[in-house]
Amino acid sequence: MNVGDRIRVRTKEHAYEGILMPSEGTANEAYLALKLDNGYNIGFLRASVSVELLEEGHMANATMPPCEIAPTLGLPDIAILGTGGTVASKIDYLTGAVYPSFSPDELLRLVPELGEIANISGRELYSIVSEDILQRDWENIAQAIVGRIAEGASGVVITHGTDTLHFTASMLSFMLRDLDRPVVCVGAQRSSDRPSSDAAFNLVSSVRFAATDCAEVVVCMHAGIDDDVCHVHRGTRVRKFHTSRRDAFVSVNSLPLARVYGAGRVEQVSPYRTSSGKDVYADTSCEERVSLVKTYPGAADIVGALVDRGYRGIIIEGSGLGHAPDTLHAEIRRGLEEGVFFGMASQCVHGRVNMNVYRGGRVLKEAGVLPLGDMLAETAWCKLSWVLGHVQDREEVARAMLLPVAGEVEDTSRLDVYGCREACL
Amino acid sequence: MRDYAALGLRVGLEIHAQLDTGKLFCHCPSDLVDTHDAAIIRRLRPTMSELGEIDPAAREEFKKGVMHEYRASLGHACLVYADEEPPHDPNPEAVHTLLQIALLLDAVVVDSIHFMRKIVIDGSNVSGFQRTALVALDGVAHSAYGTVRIPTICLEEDAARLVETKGQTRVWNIDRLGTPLVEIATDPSMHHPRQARDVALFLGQAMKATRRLKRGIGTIRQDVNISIAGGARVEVKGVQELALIEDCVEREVERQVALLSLRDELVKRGVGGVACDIVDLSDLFSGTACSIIKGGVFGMRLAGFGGLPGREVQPGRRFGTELADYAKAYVRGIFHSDELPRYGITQAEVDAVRERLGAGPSDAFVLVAEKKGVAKKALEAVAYRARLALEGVPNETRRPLPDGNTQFMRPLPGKSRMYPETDVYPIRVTPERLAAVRASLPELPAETVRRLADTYGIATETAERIVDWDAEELFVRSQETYAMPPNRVLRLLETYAMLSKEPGMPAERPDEVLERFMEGHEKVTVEAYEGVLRELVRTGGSVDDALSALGISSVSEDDIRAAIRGVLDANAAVIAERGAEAFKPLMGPVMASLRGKCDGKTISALLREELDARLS
Ligand SMILES: [Zn+2]
Repeated sequence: MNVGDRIRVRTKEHAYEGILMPSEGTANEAYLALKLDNGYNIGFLRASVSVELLEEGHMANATMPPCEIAPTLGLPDIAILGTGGTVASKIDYLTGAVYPSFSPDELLRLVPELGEIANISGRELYSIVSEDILQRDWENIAQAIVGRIAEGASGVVITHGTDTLHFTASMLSFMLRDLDRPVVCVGAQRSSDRPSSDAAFNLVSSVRFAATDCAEVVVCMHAGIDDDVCHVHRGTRVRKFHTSRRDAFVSVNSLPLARVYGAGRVEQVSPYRTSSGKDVYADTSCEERVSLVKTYPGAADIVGALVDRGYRGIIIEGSGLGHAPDTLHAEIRRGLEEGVFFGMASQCVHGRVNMNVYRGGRVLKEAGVLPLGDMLAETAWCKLSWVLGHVQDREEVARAMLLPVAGEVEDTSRLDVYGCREACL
Repeated sequence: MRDYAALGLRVGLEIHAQLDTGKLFCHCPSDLVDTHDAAIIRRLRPTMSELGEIDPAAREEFKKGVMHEYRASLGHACLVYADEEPPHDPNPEAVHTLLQIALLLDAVVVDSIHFMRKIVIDGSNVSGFQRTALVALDGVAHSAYGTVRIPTICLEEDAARLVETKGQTRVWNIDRLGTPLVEIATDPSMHHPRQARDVALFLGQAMKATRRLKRGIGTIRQDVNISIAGGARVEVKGVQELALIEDCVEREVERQVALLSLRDELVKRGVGGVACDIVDLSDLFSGTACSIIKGGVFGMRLAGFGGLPGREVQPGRRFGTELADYAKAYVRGIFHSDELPRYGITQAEVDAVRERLGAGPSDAFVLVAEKKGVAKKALEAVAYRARLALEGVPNETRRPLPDGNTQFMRPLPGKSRMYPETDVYPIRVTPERLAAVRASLPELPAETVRRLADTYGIATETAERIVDWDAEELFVRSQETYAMPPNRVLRLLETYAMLSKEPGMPAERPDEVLERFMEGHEKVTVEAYEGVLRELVRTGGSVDDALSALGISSVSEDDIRAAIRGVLDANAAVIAERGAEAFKPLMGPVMASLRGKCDGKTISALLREELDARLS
């Protein structure tokens, strides 16, 4: 018997008809789930019922009538690339499973306003849960972006799961050289099958921003939990701060670049780069043996093991101004002796590391650990991977790490930036 | 008396009761609060169905830019019901209560409970859907008129409360959102109005037996489905009183019978359709004395409907009212030919209208005094309703009126879209778990009545009232701990029931206050129950505090009588000499002996009694 079949389930006293549903959860062959004609699903202990097939199911993929789209003269051409997540997805109402939907007509059907803002072309690159993204996926995404720009897109929107959205934004910020138009990474914290989803507003705002003159990789998501403003964050300066709120993404050590309002206005908040007139290209060579390590009191063995496995670079997410416990110092020294590059960022997230203030910091710095200023740990990890893909000499790597490539590190700590959202503006 | 069997009456019930367990998918309380600390602005987007269809009404609302403002009070709301956090595990107490109810109703509990999302996009749910789960099937309800099947028993979430509508923004309070609701649906097999009431009572008692129901107005809502042979299913939504169920059914039967006979009349007259030719009549009313008309007047002829708008369909409600109810989506009211001349509209104006519309004596007409666009929509709605009259009874959702009549709310909605709630893991109901619930089932109210009557030697009626008030625990304490005479307990509960209607009284009965009263009950005379109880509820103090605040004696009646007797004993000579006339001179000494611990009125009444007793 297959999912979708019409079956009859007999208990001791009753019989129930309905459609066989996929097994609930992960491993529970002990139960079968039935969709009754009233729409409800109920579960039976397999051992306590007998099942009879009434009619084989036709899990027909409902085909939607096509949706006429003709390009509108005067509107920007925006390319949307799908990599997974639930920004643009449709639900299988039978099973509750969510599938991506990326054909332009599906996108327009989901979010009809898009058609009034831009001529949309959509393509699905991947469908992966974002925690599973890998280096080579970023290479492919970068290449695809360059391809769409070459085809004439005036901006590119990347839909993405939110877990690692900031990693992707950061990595693309390094890989896309001479970027001459906006690349907007967008996600949704509430999947798009629910009427309250943040997906459509995030997507609409992203497409609006993708039509500006900004020439950076950015993240565009809800600014607050109201459906009225989105923030546009610099790709190397943003991080997910909340597991579930729709305003989970917040700029760190910098202001958002812009706000996009529900009514359509795009308001620039801080300066962003614009096109230098050159053509964009993808420079994707990376070192995969780079790790990100968070310290904790008494931490030991977590660096040595990586050194033994041949890692070439390690970002330490240290405590406070950039410290690691004594218990790790010997491992770090050994790594440095073996030519592993070490950079220091802070698990405080906000603020700048300074390894001169306390002795512990001075010792590590003198040993060769590079303080990374106000760079986010996640961004530092992306950047080190990318830099090591190009240069290996310690001095050169250190110089490259501190040289701003995509606004990821600055010398000045702004007085008005700390905490979340509007409070700092 | 109608012959309901001959009419083919079929009634079904759907009962919703709130559980007092805190919210279903988070750990917030579910009390109602009228203040708020936060307001969240949201839009709800119509979602696609399996076939890529979008509900046109939902799309229309979205296009119009309908916004929702959700008000929340910190401490009463968290991220879950702001739709900013996935649901927590279902409230175990609510699930347990549902299992108890299912077993009390002899239903089959499913082995694994799956929550579903039911799409609701009027804004009453922040997420845009209501979570609901089918917990048990095939229960039974008993009544003197026969047994009724209960196909489904569900656990679902209550919706937010609409506070107001400000332009395109609907303002909601989310305090009620997520309150667990028991939903019990019967099959539509009930065949007598009283059966519907009895079954509602039976189901209500089974739910109350769990002692987990919220108390107060609006915590139990009954939807009643009614149809007769040849009629149509009509849902009367949100009946809050049991007594009204029977009236609603009777009145709805009356209405359906009247509508069917009206249809037969139309058929007899050969009316085959209703044309919606809207005519501008404004000029005919340029000098009207009717104060309602302030400009445009538009009208429409209902050919062949002569005399029908005035026909009664329910006591005090005419077919014209039915027409008007449909127009009320756009205008405050309509005029129909059977009620004119009236409201300042003269016979001459009526004649002019008839002439302009070409309406003869066998025709009716309808007028709307409004701007053209609005009037057009209103008259189209009237024509639509008139057309439905040709078929008989329309499928409708109606709201109950206080007298048992009902009023049109909206057409009966289609089946709602439902799909699995993938954020909530199914709940397993193992045979062991079910056996444990079965072993500790609460007693049904009828059993409680019997137990109270037997244990405390009170009348069955008294016990029934105590159970009706949901005051069984309170009563047991009054007997076991405070030795309060049962009739006094009843008096206390009656007094509270009366006071609870006063403004400013708590929504829920404050049992701890009633218990404090019981603690000092000996000091309170029956006449002082009301005053003392009101004072206790207001101030939260003790009986002694209340008595002194009210200037009432804090001594018991027996003590007063003892004091009076002492004075009488000491003044035997005066009594012997002056008889009943001794009252006046004795009053002073009695008052003095009680040193103001009691009011003069009580003392004088008791003194009179004691004196009379000595003289007789
Ligand atoms: Zn909560």
